[in-house]
Amino acid sequence: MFKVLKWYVKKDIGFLELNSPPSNSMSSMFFEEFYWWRTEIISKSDVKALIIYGNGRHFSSGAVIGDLLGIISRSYNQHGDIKKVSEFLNINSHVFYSLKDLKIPVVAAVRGVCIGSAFELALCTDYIVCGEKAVLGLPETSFGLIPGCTGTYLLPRITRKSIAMEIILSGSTFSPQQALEWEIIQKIVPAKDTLEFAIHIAEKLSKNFTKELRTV
Amino acid sequence: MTKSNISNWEKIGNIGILTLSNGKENYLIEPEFVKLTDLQKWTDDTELKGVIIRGLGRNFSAGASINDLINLARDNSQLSQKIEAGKQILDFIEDLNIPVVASINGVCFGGGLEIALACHMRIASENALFAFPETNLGLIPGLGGIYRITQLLGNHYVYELVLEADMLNATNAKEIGLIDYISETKDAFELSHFKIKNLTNDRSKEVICSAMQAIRNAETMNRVDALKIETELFCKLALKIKIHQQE
Repeated sequence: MFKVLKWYVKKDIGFLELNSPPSNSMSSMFFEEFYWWRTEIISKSDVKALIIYGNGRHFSSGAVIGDLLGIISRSYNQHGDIKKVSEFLNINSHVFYSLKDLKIPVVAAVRGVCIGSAFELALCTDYIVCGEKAVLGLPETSFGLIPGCTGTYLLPRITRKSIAMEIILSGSTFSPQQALEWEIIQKIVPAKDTLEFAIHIAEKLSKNFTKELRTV
Repeated sequence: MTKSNISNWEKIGNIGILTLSNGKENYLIEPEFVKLTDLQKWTDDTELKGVIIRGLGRNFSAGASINDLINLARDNSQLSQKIEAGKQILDFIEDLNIPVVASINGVCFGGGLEIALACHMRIASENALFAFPETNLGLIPGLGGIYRITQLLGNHYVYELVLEADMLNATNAKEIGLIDYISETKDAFELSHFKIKNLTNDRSKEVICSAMQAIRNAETMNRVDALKIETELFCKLALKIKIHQQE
């Protein structure tokens, strides 16, 4: 069914695995499959919570920039209008953000690298648990871009504007400890326990969850 | 160096430095601590990548002095005009799409604190002190300070700070999130300059402006519009990279 995602249900919890190891980078195919998963699969699944995680040591290294640049320039050559180009790409942002329309809690279980669009995806969940050695960040400005998939909108609303500005403009990665202090993530556990803790918290959150609890 | 009201402007590399300069406490005299037209002219500069606002000497600013206020209040319509002009200056600073850092030594009171709150980041020395003393004089902060501090910290600390005119030292201010960093050196300027360079070095002006605009939109726009513009800015920058690579 999927090539770069893996979807399964265990004990009423839905698991979405980002599955293009080793870095689980987000290719054009990822965005297509993610769209399909969000619009077609979830609504037909009877689950009480969702967990998103990466196959292997890393969550994900984010979007494949070459893929994105290719899509944007082809589309621009075809339409000659930046608005048309971004209308199409904007769908990705809305699909990421639409995790917040779900009536069930969504947990990101983050081990290893979680940067760029992958970090933006995590920001769209309700609870981020990180393994100790996780690496977080929005490096886009260091290669001439800005975060383009909800990051510039969500980060200043989750944490202080000054912190969002520093994360986005410096492009530097940061530790889960730092992220916890900035109130961007909720929990740090030993790396090997990340998924297990995510299941524990998903169980707990699902008991009395209503989507009105979401504030961002 | 150029001067406008009580402010001096100079550039160090790509960074503009606005220095409040009026005696030991850098009293504001009037809400227009700089002429808006001058500030607009100085910041309308394609090379400029960031701004630091600081006070000359050992203090940031003690805000308006009681005597200045009494003078201003003699003419009611003039007072409200002046306050409106002060608000416009602070709005202009907050809306700048390059980072603005407040570099704070010593006292940062009243209108001084309101200026600092309009900046995008606050860096203070260990001896910095923060307060809204206005209610002691039967006034309230008048330049948008109450709104900005509520946006920054939520309602939790506003009553103590505004109604009880509590004073905070740098450590307290850092704990509640009023400031972002405490400088280890006596003058916060060194760290402020280091930080702003870290945010702007190796970044094109267009990347800086796009990022700052998108972050500002998160506060001022609804989600659908903010996300739409985020993607548009992203695509514009992406096309530049592509063109650059093909050349």
